[in-house]
Amino acid sequence: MTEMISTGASVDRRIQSYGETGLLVQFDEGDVVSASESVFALNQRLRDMKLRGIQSTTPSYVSLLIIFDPSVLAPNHLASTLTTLLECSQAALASDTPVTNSNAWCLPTLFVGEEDEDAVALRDELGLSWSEVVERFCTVSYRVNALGFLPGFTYLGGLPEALHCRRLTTPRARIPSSSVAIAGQQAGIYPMDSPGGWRILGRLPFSIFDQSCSSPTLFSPSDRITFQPTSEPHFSELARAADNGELALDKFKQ
Amino acid sequence: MIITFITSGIRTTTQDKGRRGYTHLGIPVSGAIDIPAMRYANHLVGNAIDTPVLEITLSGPQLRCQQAGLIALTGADFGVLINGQPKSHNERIVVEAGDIISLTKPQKGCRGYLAIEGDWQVQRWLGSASALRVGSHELFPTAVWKAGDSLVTRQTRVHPWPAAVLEPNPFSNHISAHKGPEFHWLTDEAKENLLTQPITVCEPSNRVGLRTDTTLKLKKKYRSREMLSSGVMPGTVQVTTSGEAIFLLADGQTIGGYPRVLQCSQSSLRSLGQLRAGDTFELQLVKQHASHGASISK
Repeated sequence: MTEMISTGASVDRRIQSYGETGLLVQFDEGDVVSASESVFALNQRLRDMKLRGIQSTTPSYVSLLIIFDPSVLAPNHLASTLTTLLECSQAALASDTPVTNSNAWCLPTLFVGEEDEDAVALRDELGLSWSEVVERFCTVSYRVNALGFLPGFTYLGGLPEALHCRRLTTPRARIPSSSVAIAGQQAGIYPMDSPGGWRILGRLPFSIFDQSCSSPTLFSPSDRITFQPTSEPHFSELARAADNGELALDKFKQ
Repeated sequence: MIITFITSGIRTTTQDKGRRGYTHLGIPVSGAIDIPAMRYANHLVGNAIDTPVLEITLSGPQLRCQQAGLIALTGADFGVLINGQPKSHNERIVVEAGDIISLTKPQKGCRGYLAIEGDWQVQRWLGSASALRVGSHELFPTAVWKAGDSLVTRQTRVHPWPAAVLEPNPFSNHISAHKGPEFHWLTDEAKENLLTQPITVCEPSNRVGLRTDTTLKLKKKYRSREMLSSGVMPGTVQVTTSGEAIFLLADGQTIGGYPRVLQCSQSSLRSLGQLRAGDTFELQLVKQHASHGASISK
């Protein structure tokens, strides 16, 4: 956020109509990190306003889609409200006001062994030993940029450049739920078993999506996540507790 | 009423107007594909118009009524038989205890809506009774009906003022759409093809979206460009790397990384969702109002 102050200029953005029930705010892709801050700031302010007629908002890397009922909220009115909010959130960002309602998590992760297929492939592609890959992956904090693709699939921004890697040419038929994976410049966590083409680094001992729950996803957009390597016995112990419903996941919040 | 499923049909689910407000968690809206048909069915039996209904796909279930009451079938033109006697589509039907309801296949459309009088005793998840299937995952399994299941509705003494709900128009093979955020990524030839050539729906098409036989080209400078995933919604038309136009429906994902070339108009969503593999349709661009279509740039 200090970079934001030094630039002093507002991020380029566009408000576009998207059918009769959508408005799309797109920020300049040039700087994904500050664009993403702007997306969360705008989303938070819009939520706080509780504007009648908004049905949902979908934040992603550099864009915010607002879905509304045009019989309640006129698109022109929404567009001018957004313009005003953008000026405000720009000011708020420059004054370093933190985005509210976001959690910081430290997640115990069982990394795959160095003989694992993906570990070998990454070692060859990145020119790093497996322990270096794990270490570099765990030293940074990631931002939840978006949830999507699958309900609760967690897209993380902030992967160190040394770990940027190609995705599999042929996706695997099944990646187990709670897998932590990387592809391109992204990291992600799978909420359920799914086909996928990302490289798997490890796995969390608990589920991040619970469909029987009224708040089904563990994470929300703009949350921060760090990963901490854990041993196999500790992982098994946590996984058993999670299966028995005896693991309070709040303890992984910082 | 109590209605028991003798057979389930290909896929019979509970649907209502869906769960809105959870797209930021990646949870699709879900809900009835043909909302006007759902509302008209409820209107016919005297229910509040957003009461759940059964959404019936391509082949109907066979049902036994355990109690007397009112039902109505709308949407795709399935034939309704009560104890083998044909009854009218889009009309209120009185059933008695012991009656057997069966359906014949529709000539047009693929989704029918069966309203059942009363207050539905079904579970809700995130404010909706609608089934939602993503990939192989059934996210709200109690809304998917199987042989042997029983559906219970409770008689209400309070009936809503009958809203002026009109019989929906027949489905159309002309789908109207607005330009999407990446419409300009298409070559002029691709724009022309998309808006003038008939499009055929292909397998696998389902509530997530429709696949099509199109091969659309993007302008050179956009061809190798990796798009950062951004919001999509039911009715969004995305173009995949191979040039296929995909039309998202109610169970479609909430963000996507393919260019969004069109957004189907609200009034066309129901017709779009009634198309089945092999059907053809044509797209036409909605004339944008100066006030609405203007893009505000800074």
